[in-house]
Amino acid sequence: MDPLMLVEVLDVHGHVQIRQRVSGAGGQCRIGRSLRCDVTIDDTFAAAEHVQLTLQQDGRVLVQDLHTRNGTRVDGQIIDAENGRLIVHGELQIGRTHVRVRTEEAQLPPERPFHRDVLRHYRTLLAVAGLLLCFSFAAFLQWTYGPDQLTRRILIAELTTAAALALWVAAWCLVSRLTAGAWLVRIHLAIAACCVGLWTWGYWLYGLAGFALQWRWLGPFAVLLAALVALAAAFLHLRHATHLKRTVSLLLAVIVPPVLGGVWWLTDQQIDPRTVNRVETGAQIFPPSLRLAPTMNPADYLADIERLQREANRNRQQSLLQSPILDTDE
Amino acid sequence: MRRLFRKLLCFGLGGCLVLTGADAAMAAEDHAVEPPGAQITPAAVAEGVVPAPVEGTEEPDLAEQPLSNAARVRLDRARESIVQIRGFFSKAQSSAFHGSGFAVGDEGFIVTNYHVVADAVLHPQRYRLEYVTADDRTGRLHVYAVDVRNDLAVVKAEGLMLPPMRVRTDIPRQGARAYSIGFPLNLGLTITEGVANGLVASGFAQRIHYTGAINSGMSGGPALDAGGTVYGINVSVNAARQLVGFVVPARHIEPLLKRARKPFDEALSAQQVRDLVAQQALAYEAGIFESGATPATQTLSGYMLPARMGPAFDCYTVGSSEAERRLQIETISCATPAGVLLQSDLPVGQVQFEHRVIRGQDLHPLQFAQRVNDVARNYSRTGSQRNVAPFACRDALVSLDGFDARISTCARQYRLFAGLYDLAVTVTSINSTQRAVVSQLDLQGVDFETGTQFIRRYLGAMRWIR
Repeated sequence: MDPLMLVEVLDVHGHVQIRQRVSGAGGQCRIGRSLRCDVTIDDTFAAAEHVQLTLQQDGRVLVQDLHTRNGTRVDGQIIDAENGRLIVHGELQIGRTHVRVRTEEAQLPPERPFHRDVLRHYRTLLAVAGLLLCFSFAAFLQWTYGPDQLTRRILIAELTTAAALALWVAAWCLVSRLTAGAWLVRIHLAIAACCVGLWTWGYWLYGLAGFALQWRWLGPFAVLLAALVALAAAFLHLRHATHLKRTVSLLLAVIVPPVLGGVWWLTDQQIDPRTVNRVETGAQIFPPSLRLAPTMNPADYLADIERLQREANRNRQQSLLQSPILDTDE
Repeated sequence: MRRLFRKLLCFGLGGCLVLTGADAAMAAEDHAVEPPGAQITPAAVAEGVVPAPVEGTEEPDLAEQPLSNAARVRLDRARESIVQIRGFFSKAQSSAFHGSGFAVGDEGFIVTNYHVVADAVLHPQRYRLEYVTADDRTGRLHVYAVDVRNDLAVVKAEGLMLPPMRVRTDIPRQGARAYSIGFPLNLGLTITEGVANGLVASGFAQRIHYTGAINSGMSGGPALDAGGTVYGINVSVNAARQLVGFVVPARHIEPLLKRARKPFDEALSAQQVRDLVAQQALAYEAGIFESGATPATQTLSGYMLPARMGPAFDCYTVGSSEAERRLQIETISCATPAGVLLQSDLPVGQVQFEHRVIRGQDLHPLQFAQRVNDVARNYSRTGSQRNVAPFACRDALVSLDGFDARISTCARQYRLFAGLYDLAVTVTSINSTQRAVVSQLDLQGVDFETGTQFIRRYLGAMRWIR
């Protein structure tokens, strides 16, 4: 059988722009800016005739730089212009252009197991479901504030929600278009709407659970839940909008939300500093029928209050350590 | 509403702008209560300031008297006895605060307000006190005794002997002409003229109500009756009202002079001085807390709620319905008069609470609960990071008498005074889908044990009766 060689010119995203097939021992493929080349590339850093690929009898390819100023790299290493290099497969860098060369001798990796991408497959359904969650919560929240001017308030809330979602989704769609070449509107809408919808309803239900069960550890749990939702949203957006590997996407998703959360927290501190006047009023109340946890005996509560003194003293000690009274002689 | 209520209750110091007080005494009318040494001088009579009493004739119409001359004569007589007291930060040459003071007794003591010298008392290494006499002599002042409850202090300067002012210990009659002297706004020695209106009836600390102009810097200055005798010490003014000033009765000077033995900076450490000040504040508060064993209650929409927890409390009830008409809120506000000042921005010893009884009309239980949450959230405390540490809080669902409630109690300690705490309690009932009470209690600068006992009585007085 005649040996075969496949030459593929890649764009900056790794997509194949030009594909050239060469067969038979001694078959050649010349790459450069010249129209006389077998593969013409539009790269000002490449020579008119930059590199020549020659298919050998044994199926390998001889890569020869045609004495260019910038040279040719194979898998990152510059090749000797006199002797060239024999390769089975590899990625050439010509100027700024990347060219992938493959032969039959190169071993193909085994086929990857196919997993149906649920998000991609059900993107329309998920986008609709997510939007329903978001819009229903916006309307519900307005309803809880009473019936007066309800229609107007709901309309404003829905428009605000729609605008916020549109901005977020548009940003990710733009990233998708620039990196993956497709807008992927429904996918990003599904991710954003589902995450926001689940979070808002989840947060409300968390408040209800805090009242019903009087769980004191629900505070940290809510923060954890928010972090998980943010992580999931960031990971899914990155996976669909970029060509980043799974591990890199996961790493970014783990790092970015806490960083953004930290920035938000610091900003919030500036706007509403946790001053000495901050009083916690406890979990919000709901209708009495929704309460499940038993109430406390007043005597037990008052005994608990007496323990507050130690905590208040500790706060004072910390406060004095952080900002001492300068002229004290204590 | 709460702000308005605080202003209404602003009788003593705290919430009022503590500036100065002034007194005046009506010459002719006041002769009846004038001590023998406080008669109008012949010089004044000769000048025609005050008409000479003529036997068998009626008192002349005071409106016809030349008031400005009367004031000038009294000012001239007092000028030598009055000093401006200035507080300087560290080694600064310009003053950080200032007030007034006047000489009493024959030992060279000068009386002023505690709040004038409070910063120097509590931070002796940060502030120094100086005096300026009428003839521009200056020198260092040392604090000898303080009376936090009555906002008085006794200071002294080595080698400075000013002519003492005469003092009377009784209270001028209501309507008596009075004068107030001091250094308002650092503009030099000034006298104002007004009317003494007797002891403030509802005040917990003793104050004489003075109707006359008072301004910042006159604190600690003498309040004179028509005869030029000191009947009190300027202390505060209600800045939100017109010409409502307060004067500490002069009867509190003598006990304080007896306590003045050695200057604080020789006899006591800074911490001992702070402990002394805190003890005096707690002693003042003891009067509030020990009274009223059985708190009076008031019933609104089925909730029996504590109202006058003692004789020092004043209560107001206000009803209001929101514009949307689906929520009606009735408010009972109770408070003791403003407490005492530990330093210029640190009032303590006030207790105030507010019950807001909420009734919903045609609201879904979830909607009503949301509105109750809004009412319970809309409440803020005041306090400077300089003076207090952050709150520590406890909240739980608690069974009260006939109803369940979410109760949140928070406590914070004073940075400078380890024995003083602010306690804040919020009670939100959860027994009905259309009625609720949100009750908020604030105890300012109290002993922790006393405070928790008060909270116990407060919660014990709450009841759902139908």
